[in-house]
Amino acid sequence: MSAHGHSESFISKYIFSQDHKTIAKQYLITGIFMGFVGGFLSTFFRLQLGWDGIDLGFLKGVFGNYLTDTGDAYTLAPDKYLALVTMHGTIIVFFVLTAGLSGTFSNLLIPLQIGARDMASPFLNMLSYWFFFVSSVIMICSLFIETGPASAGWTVYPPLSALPKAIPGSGLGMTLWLVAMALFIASSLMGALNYISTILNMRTKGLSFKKLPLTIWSFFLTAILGTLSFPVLLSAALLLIFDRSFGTSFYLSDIYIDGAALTAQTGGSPILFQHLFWFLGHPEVYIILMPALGITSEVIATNARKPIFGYHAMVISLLGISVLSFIVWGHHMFVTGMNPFLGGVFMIVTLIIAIPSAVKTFNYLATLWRGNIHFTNGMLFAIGLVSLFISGGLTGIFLGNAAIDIPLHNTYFVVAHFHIVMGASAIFGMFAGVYHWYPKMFGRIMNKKLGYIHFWLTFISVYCVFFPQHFQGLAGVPRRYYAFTEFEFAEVFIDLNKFMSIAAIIGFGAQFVFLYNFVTSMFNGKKAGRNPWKANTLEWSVENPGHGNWPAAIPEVFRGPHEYSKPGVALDYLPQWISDEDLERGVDYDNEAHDPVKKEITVKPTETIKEGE
Amino acid sequence: MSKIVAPRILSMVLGLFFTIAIAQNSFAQTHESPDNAAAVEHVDETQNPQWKNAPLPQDLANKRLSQFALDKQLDANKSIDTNNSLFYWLISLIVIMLLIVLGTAMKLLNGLSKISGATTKEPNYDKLNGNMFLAFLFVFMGAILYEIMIHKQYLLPESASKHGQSIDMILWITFALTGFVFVVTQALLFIFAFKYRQKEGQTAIYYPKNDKLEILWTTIPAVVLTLLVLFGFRIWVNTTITNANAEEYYEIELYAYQFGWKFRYPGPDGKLGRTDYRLTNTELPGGTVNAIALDITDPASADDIVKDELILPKGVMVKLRMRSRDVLHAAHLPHFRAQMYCVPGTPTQFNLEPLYTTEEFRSRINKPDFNFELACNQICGASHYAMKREIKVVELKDYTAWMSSEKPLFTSAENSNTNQLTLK
Ligand code: HEM
Ligand SMILES: [Cu+2]
Repeated sequence: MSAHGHSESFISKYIFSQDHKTIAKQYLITGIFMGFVGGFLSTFFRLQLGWDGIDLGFLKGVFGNYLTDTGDAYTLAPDKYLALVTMHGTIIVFFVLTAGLSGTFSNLLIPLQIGARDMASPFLNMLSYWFFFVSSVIMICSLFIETGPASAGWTVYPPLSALPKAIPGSGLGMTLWLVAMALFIASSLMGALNYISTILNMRTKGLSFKKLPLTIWSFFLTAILGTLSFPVLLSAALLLIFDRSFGTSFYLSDIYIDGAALTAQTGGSPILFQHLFWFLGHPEVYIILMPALGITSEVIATNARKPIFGYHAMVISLLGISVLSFIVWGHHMFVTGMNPFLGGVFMIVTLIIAIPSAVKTFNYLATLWRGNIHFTNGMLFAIGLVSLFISGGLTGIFLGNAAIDIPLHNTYFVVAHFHIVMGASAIFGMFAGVYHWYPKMFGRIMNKKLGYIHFWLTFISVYCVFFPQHFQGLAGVPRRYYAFTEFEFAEVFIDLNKFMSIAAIIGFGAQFVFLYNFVTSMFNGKKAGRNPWKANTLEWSVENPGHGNWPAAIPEVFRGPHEYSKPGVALDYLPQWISDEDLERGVDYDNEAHDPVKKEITVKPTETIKEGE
Repeated sequence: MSKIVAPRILSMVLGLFFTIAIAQNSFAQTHESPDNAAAVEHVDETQNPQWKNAPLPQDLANKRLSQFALDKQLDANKSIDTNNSLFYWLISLIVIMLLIVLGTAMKLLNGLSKISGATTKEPNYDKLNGNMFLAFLFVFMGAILYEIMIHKQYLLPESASKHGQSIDMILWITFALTGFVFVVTQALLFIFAFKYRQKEGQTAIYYPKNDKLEILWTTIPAVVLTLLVLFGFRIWVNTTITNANAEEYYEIELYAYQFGWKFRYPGPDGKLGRTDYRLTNTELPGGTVNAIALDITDPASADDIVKDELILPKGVMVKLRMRSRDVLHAAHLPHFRAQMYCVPGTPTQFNLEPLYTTEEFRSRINKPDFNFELACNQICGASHYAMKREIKVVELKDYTAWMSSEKPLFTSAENSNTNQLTLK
């Protein structure tokens, strides 16, 4: 604004803002809030899993309808355990790791890294956030209704999700879930269309696809996956709404419940829903992971002071993952009674997708090799992501093998697999991004000592919680069990569950260190210069970007994003906006005052830009 | 000024949250009126230690209904629980205090290092984190070894079914391969992090790509995965397609409902007859309840035997057919490495051949009180976690003897006790 000197009201500046940076912060803060809600729900049910029948009376005030009075204790009701698991999954998968992660960093980085004044459609962008916001509010509200929120698992398989008589959460709670998800999908489509058109059309001069930072590549492909797969979830949800409210039977057949046969609703197939759901569901896991991988790539290259190893291979792997992720959904359905031959085909394509994942891992390792690693907070989380990605990717090879999946399906092995490879990895990518780009968002650097504490507590507790679950799964223990008391093969792990619960609570506690750091650093963090990490990409060419980002002309791009430690260059980085002539002239771009971007302000008249109305 | 802003904002946010929390009191149920007859009854019901065992759906529904009625009643005479709101204020106070203490401590630390000036240098965080990564590697690997050692006994014993043996084999092959890759890559990651941490005078090398390496580490995983796929595909096809087409098999039906299982044995004719979900729980001629919706107009159904226990004959290919009454369930037989969804409206099946009787298996694994178990492994409602049956495997001759001593669900005149195991 300062560059243009036109004043905006508080509301248009901070609430209904159309500025991509403000929207990014709105997404981030909403995402963090939802993250704490999701995390809290998990500690809530981890208490039950660790100590079966534990007295949770202290939660009676807010969560009274989740508890059963057993006379001398308030214990978690078994169906409300399922409600908690469902809401935890939904909130983390969609609200934190899809909207919170993509929404924040796509919005913040796409215009800044491709050299654009803002998104292609700032208005649509604002709408996208507010749809997301309303969706979040509805989802949170559903936690507090009398019959409890949706309880059929985050995958909401009918008939359980269609029949309020089967579980109380499938009443109003499920309706709110569906409404919230419909809004969420609309939000994510508006966002994704914007990201795609911005990246395709608004790159600055010189920024060809071969010079795009890997963040932008990953946001671009993520947005494409989203636009192609979310509509399918929407249609699945719509059909479910019809089945629930208008008496159709897309998913229902031959059901007898609560003393009556549903003779009017017959002929549908519950398996149809699973196909539709996983047609989104599998791309969805990559919608979550790819932005985290993109962030990690940039953070690792910057802080290892080395070009990312095999830029082309990295891009090709991302492309390969994107394409393949549309044809592997059946691996979630090996034992649903799907034609076994079809299962065999899904198994082959599933294991092919492991190849690009492996290539990415090796490239990360090669990037670290003989680097000069700066352990910034962001870098710690990026390294943590690589470790988690390895651990979780390898267990995918077990599950992708249909034969092995027969005993492992829906056991804790799957829980371990996806929490490590998706949950923890993506959260680590998000943290890496927050620590790394905090200076661009708030002009200050987060406290690094607190960052270290946060990282190590989180990293260790993540492994303590999820690694032992592999053993539980190999022993056949099913997921979504309220207690492990009924089965001999599950009972033996009761002690281990206490351990995991304690680790989970410590891990959740560590997030308050982050929260404290995040909030206080806004006010007393160390002031960041324009380019605190000495990085190459365009966002670091501008200090505290105002409305329209660059006060002067938009810089031109002359080189790829990763020219770190280049031989013949005095400094160990070479930003994209420095031309060869600049280099020959010997500009000291380390010194902000001498940077050619700065100089342009005095040389070129301020370019007039369209104000985002 | 800015230094006190943060805690203030935080306390405002927390205050807001807890105010909302207290307001919530008026919406949340309290279960706290001892003189309320319904409440007492409700308490009694849940106090009953049996409540965890899977109730019949009707019981459960009744329980629900009475609970809802109760909630409505309680809503009428609820009041804000002051003790509780005090509790929340206390917690928020403690949290705020903790945050302030933390903040002050940090400021103090900063101040101290400033006062003592150049003498106390900031610790070398690069070295610290590098060492931490190396230490993490060793602790991590050590912890995994320890886990394997102590949890080996908890893992499933050897497979009790024939196809399960090949599943176990491919599982352990995959385990060995991925284990190797896991150790090598994690070790490289943490050793690189330790070794190449920022140091005085160290520069990174400029090494943006090497196509040969890229090709190498694309083809090696590709080859290994191809082998795994080929091998796995064969086992998968054997388990699901070849076994399903076995010439000789014996059929048993698993019928899942909220929250339990029923098992149907084919009776003398060796055939499981027709069913019709609309007949569920109707009364059969003769007075028994048609719990699994047999259509007794089909003679093949009329002689079917319905039981609460699953008994399998050893050494026979058993075709387990699955059906569900209400929602999705999954029959999970971990000791047999078998699993299949039970889908309302879509019959499914899983074929397996038990290798040992329960007695034999007990002595093989040295656990005299061991039992095979059947669990539900697809979220199906409140008592999902307790949807259990024990499975007994017996010698074929004992099985036949047991079968012929059992009466069919529907007893008509022409049904005599001539049940025999009939293989198809
Ligand atoms: C190395 C490649 C991978 C393979 C071969 C693989 C394979 C599989 C398979 C077969 C399942 C189904 C297991 C079952 O339900 O029985 C599964 C579950 C899952 N995977 Fe992966 N996976 C891989 C990587 C990933 C990645 C990178 C992510 C996320 C970013 C991911 C996220 C998930 C999730 C969320 C589930 C569980 C969903 C649920 O049932 O709730 N996987 N994976
Ligand atoms: Cu998948």
